[in-house]
Amino acid sequence: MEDYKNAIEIKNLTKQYDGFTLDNISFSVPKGNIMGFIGQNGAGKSTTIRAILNIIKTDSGSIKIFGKDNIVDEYEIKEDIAAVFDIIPFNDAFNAVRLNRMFRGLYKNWDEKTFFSYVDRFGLPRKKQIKQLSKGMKMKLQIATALSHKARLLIMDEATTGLDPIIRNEILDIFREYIQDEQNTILMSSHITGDLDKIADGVTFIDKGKILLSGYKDDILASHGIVKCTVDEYKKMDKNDYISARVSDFGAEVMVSDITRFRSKYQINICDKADLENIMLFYVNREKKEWS
Amino acid sequence: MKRPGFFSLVYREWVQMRRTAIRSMVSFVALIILSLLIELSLFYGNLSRLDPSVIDGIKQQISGILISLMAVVGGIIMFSVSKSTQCDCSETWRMFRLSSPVTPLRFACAKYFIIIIAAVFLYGFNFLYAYIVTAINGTELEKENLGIMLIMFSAMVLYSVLFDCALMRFHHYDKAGGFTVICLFVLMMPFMIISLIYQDDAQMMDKIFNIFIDAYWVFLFLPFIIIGAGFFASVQLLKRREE
Repeated sequence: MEDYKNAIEIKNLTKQYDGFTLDNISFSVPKGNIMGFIGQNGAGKSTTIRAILNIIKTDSGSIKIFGKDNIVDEYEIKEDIAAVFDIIPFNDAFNAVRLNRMFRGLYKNWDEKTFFSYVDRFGLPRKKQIKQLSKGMKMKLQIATALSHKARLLIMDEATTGLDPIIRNEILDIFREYIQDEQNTILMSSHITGDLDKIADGVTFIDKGKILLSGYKDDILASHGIVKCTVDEYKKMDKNDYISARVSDFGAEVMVSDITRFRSKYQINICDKADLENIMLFYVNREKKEWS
Repeated sequence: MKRPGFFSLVYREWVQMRRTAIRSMVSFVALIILSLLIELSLFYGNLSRLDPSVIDGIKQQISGILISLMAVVGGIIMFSVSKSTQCDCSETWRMFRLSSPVTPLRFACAKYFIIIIAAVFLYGFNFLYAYIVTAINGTELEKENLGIMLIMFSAMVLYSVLFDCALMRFHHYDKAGGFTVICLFVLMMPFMIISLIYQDDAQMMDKIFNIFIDAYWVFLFLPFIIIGAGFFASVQLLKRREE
């Protein structure tokens, strides 16, 4: 099972709903990487994650996890996967001690020591019931369970949404440690692009059921840029040379996907580095081309 | 390889229904205390001052009432066991269940293990209680009492199993409750129609009632047949993937 390059490999995945289609998407998450999975609400992030976990039936396409088919080898694969959701999935009557008792039978690689070390490190009370914990504590408890059965793939679906920056930073530190042995992989769907700016190795951007970008974050950030120019300069530009433009009375900001090529063509020097939030914003408006 | 799931899931069910179980025990104890007080009154209290011929009649009636009451309490507890699994309909639990390595068969096994344990315990307890009450009163355990007890119990097991399956199908507490009530209503329809037709014919109503009471032994096995059917339906429902 160790002989795989990509922890997740999705090829031509299609899933049709009434009013939404996950349209022939393909991307992969290399082993040992943190892949940020970004997109606005309803873009298809959760549908893709559900398809990866075989929670929904897909119409076509294939998904491989650790090089194995996610349906044929479903239960074998799931021993090595940990999924973290935005809401804790356990009954309010559970506490850390009871969760440990339940989990040690659910996963063959459950490690009680690791679990309680996370519980102590997060400052979580062992015997306080879930209903008495704050949202941040619940999320930490969920992450502690996810990281305690030696999972090699951690899938997070909007798990850090709604948490304060301090807790989010603590959690990001844990993920950095988790990824250090280069055998573990994280797929992290999030709206909070700032978190992904900090820790992601790669980014996959989905919009309206289509993958718009997928690759190493540094490459994406290096190739993209926001060109600042006057409205007149902007109007002279070929529409195929940029993604979209934010136009105001004071000038225009134009997102370009190949900054080197753009610079050589237009001789414009004022260019800001793009971050993930801006990339998302300009790509979402790509069909309008011009917005304010 | 260690086989994951079964006892952990039984433990999970237990944690979820612990409060219900405690409440059930309290109801049982309360009913036993009530029975004890009535019996004490019959033997040593105000009721013992009545005419001996009246006391015999009261004893017979009280045995019947107490046995039926215990059957109702048992039925409600059976329903509560099923109700305690309502957290299973939460979307995140379903997502977690489907992302874990535990197979649908194991989930169903754990759930029905608890239902069987509850059914056997309540069944046994009801019989023991009926036996003790009749023994104390020096009365016989009548067919009517036994029949009512078993019919009540079968109905509650049916309700629990239907509710559980509906919860697995709809993942929604209210929808599952509505579906279960409709199913039970449909099953009750023939009896309601018969009782409407013969409502003025007391003899015929008695006859129909006796048919059920005479066939009480069917209801001895029926709950376990329902549980078996529910188990197979649950496995299929748990295997389902969202369309």
